[in-house]
Amino acid sequence: MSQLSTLSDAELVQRCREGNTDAWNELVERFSRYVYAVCTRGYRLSEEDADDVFQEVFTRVFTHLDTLRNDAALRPWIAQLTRRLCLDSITKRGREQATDEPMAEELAADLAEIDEAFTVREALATLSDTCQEMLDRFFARDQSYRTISDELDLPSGTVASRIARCLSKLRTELEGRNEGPRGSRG
Amino acid sequence: MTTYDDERIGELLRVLPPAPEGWVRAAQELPAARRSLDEIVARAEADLAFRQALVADLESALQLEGYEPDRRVVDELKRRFSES
Amino acid sequence: METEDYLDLRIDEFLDRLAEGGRAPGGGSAAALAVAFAAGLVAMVARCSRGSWEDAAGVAAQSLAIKERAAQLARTDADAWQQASAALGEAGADGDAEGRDRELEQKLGHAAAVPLEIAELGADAAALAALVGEYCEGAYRADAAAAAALASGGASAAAHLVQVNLTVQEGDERLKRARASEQAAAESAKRTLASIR
Repeated sequence: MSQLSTLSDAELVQRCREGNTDAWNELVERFSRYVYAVCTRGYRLSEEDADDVFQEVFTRVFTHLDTLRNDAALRPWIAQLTRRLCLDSITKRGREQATDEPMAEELAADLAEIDEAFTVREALATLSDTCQEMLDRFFARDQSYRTISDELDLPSGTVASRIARCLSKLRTELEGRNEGPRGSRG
Repeated sequence: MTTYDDERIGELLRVLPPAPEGWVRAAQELPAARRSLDEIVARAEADLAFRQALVADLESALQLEGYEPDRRVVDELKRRFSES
Repeated sequence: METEDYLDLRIDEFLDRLAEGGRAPGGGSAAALAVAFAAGLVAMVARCSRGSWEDAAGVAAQSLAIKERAAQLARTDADAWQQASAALGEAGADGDAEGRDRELEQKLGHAAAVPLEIAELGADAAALAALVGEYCEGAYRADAAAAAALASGGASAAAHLVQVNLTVQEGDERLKRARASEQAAAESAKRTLASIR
């Protein structure tokens, strides 16, 4: 996990505007899961359509970053852009896909859950590298204890307990955020 | 105010798996793709013969000059040179 | 019925489908559900141990994730098996033999990948069962042991399915991983069952 991952969204935008390639890479990394989830889990686009929307979102972000008036509003801007492009994609497909479109209520619930998940990931970024890796590998990447143990060079019998403790730390971090304004990335 | 327990946190972590690696890489390469596009456009503006070659057969002209731009650059160039 | 409907069936309906001749769901789906059952039991024991064990909540969260993944694999395995069977059925037909062989290899490969994942999940569920069996209150130890035994059975069944897949030969990395998962699950189960005897 790089130094850039600790920058706020506003700071990241500034660096991108200065032409910092590493900052752009971090921006894509930071929001790629979110955009992917909105396309596939939210709007249930096919892999092909999701790929197109994904690339279009980041192309527009790259091209129009200078027009963003409030740098701290990067996340809602990307969220709105992604939703709009998903809807355009569905519309382009026409009526043949109409039955695959998620019902409005279900869509709203899925998008709200994706937003909540992003908040959790922001909190995850404040934990140690090892905790971040363990939680991400087990829960988000479906890796086995053996794979995690091999790749992070940890004794295999300790992985489950370590994950439990990292979860506890993440919970504490999230509870702290709930308690009052903190210096979050958003 | 949202309260979290470990189970809910685990569920939410599962909501955001990584995007396909190739997609992320392609998005990260946008600045390089843009520089490539700007370079080709600048050259086409300065070099009439190159511009005419691009209009006649874009892909061949690029290949001949040793460019290997990605799909987005090719699409953007086609759009620009078909409008001109 | 499409495989995506399996998880919507009542248990008795699913069991009737399992008992029907000649088509999915089969051993892979059954193995996956055994692992899902195990993970569900582990979650229950962990939840009941929250007052006395610091890691209980985190272990419950992990076992719920394994339960969800295993349940999905019950469906995925049935799909993979149906596609592989269909490809095997077309193997001798006229036409593009090379193309059909490539497709067959790909489908059989996928049909081995799914039980491999089930075996690995079984090992993880068994490890969690052993962990929870060590720290839970006495009243729940038998449930932890049952979870370990189910997870081990699921892992063993899935590992065998990897072995009999036509594309998997001795020395194949997938076979090594499947056997390692089977062994790890069996060791976890042995430890847990011994602790309550």
